[in-house]
Amino acid sequence: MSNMMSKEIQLAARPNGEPKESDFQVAEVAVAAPGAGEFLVQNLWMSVDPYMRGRMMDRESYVPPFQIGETLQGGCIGKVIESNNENFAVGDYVNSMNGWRELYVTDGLMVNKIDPAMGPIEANLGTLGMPGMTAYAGLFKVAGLKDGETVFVSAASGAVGAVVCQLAKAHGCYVVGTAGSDDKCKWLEDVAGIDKAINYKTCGDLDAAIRDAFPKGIDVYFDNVGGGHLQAAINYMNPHGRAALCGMIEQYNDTEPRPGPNNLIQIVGKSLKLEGFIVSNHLDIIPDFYAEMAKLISAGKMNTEQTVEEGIANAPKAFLNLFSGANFGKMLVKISDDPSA
Amino acid sequence: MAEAVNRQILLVETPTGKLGAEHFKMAEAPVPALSNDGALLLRTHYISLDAANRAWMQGATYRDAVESGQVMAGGAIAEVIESKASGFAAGDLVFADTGWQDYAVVPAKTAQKVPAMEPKTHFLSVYGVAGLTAYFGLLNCATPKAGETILVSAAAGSVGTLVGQIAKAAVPDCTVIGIAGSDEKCQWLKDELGFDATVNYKTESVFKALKAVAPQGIDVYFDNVGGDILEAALFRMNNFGRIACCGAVSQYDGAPPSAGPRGVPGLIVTKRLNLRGFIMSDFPNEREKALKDLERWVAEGKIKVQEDIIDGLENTPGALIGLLAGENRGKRMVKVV
Repeated sequence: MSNMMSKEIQLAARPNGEPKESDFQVAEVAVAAPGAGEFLVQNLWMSVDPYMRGRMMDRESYVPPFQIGETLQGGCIGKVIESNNENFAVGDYVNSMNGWRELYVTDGLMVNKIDPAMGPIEANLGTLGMPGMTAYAGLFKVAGLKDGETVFVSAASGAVGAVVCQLAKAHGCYVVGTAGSDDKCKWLEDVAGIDKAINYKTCGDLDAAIRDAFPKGIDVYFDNVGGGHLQAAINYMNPHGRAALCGMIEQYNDTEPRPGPNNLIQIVGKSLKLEGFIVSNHLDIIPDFYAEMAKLISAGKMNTEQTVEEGIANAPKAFLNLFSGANFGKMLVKISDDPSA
Repeated sequence: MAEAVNRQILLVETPTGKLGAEHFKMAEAPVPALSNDGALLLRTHYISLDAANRAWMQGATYRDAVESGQVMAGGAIAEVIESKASGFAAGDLVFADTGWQDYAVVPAKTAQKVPAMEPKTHFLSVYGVAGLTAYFGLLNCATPKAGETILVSAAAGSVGTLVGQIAKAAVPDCTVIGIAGSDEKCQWLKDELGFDATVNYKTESVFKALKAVAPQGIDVYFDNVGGDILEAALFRMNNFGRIACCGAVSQYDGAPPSAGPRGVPGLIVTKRLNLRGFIMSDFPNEREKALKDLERWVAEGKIKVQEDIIDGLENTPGALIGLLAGENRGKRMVKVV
């Protein structure tokens, strides 16, 4: 096969505050034919995630920063279309971090095969992928959730939050979540089956709304946003409550660190535990995670919503939508139709 | 006993800002009569003073708030004068919430017998709340490992002096850094208690000073103060660091802060930190082991017990106000008789 061209998205400039379309550029990159032991993958789906905003800054973090003029990276699902590698055959579906591009050649390092029988292949970027594992690790490993406890989830209709809600319900918990629109709240109550959804944009006093939703207090808080949600959660957490701190989408675009909750003193008085975590430190959960998810999916108890943008050129737009809350559930980019399906 | 008078110190007004002498008054009442079965009449000997006393005035925590008009609450070593409860007899020493008064009637189930020890004040310091708080917070909550760097704030206080010494006794090759409020205290921590380095938070930028004395970063922070020092520590913590949240003395005495530390939750997430609040009573099953370890370290000279004893019930308000201003070294208490 002669050289092919891959359309790729690169970082054109480091965003200052809220990212914008002009921070990204589209490039056409030649992809060489796979050499010995290598294979060629055509990407079908890619994920955009809030954490990517952090990698756009030039600073030390748990993953190295993206470089200007280089193709971005992120989770993606593709199909092997040419292979010189005995472990990967043409037609295999694979998961990797080589997103934001149409094609790539790899020797298989950090590329994993996925099982299309588990569900739609793109679920491996959401419910069955990193967001789902994040939900599972945060609830069970970090927060040590016990059956029947009370659980508060922020950004509850997002990719992570929706799984948190349904896992907690499957464990007999009382679950309250927040979301940013009435549609999302309705989905949370009617489809995800949580006990109460709060529209944080229209509820007025968020602290009072959370207080009223938890007459018995909060045992576990799954924090995806920080800020006022975290402050209110601390106010209404029960003694020995646990908070799994997973993200802070409210604050990713800040240019200066903003002040934290002013009620941390309650951590002492109520013997609370707050723990930050990143799913890649908890990969030992994977077997338990797949076992539990398979059970819930087959019982129809793990519902998901996704918002899809079509075409690699729309990937920046999909990413920007994360910060305006325009997505509903997992935000995905469909890069290509499945060539043989 | 008819002639005996019960001197009491009342909280006359809930302070909204800095605690002052005007918030207290001394009153006299008859010695209370023991009517209920299951109760004890106690004579107060030594009253424990703790930063938490101030927090009790701000609202309910692990105990009810202390309201104005009430006798100020406080734990003390006391002698049983009369008992209507099985298991207690006149002459027994107990630890109980007598409040700031000469005599108190308490339910026996809230009193804890104090084992015979000399001096008995050690039950308020190294073998009491301070020692067990330091032990559980450091070893059970923050779980330091050999070679780690351990930071403690309010390092010259009752808990802080013990945290530093317990770290040195229990954690091989650790580096212990203390934060205190005067050069004199800092020098004393290094010379007398074996701290490796200190920071005077009143004269130095804590963030910069920590960078200088611990370029390797902080693995464990035993937080007694909260606020700005917690913020500085968050920015200097290493990945997977543990923070034992023991108190927030910087926030007890005054109005609540308008803003909390920057970096919450951001730094907690990216560095995967664990912040854990606790009180001594969260670890009932560890108590026996803790006391054995503490006794051994005292006997071996690895812990030098620091007690700061003020004489006279009437001086209790001033002793607490002074403690909140940081004038004590080690465990402060008031000797009543």
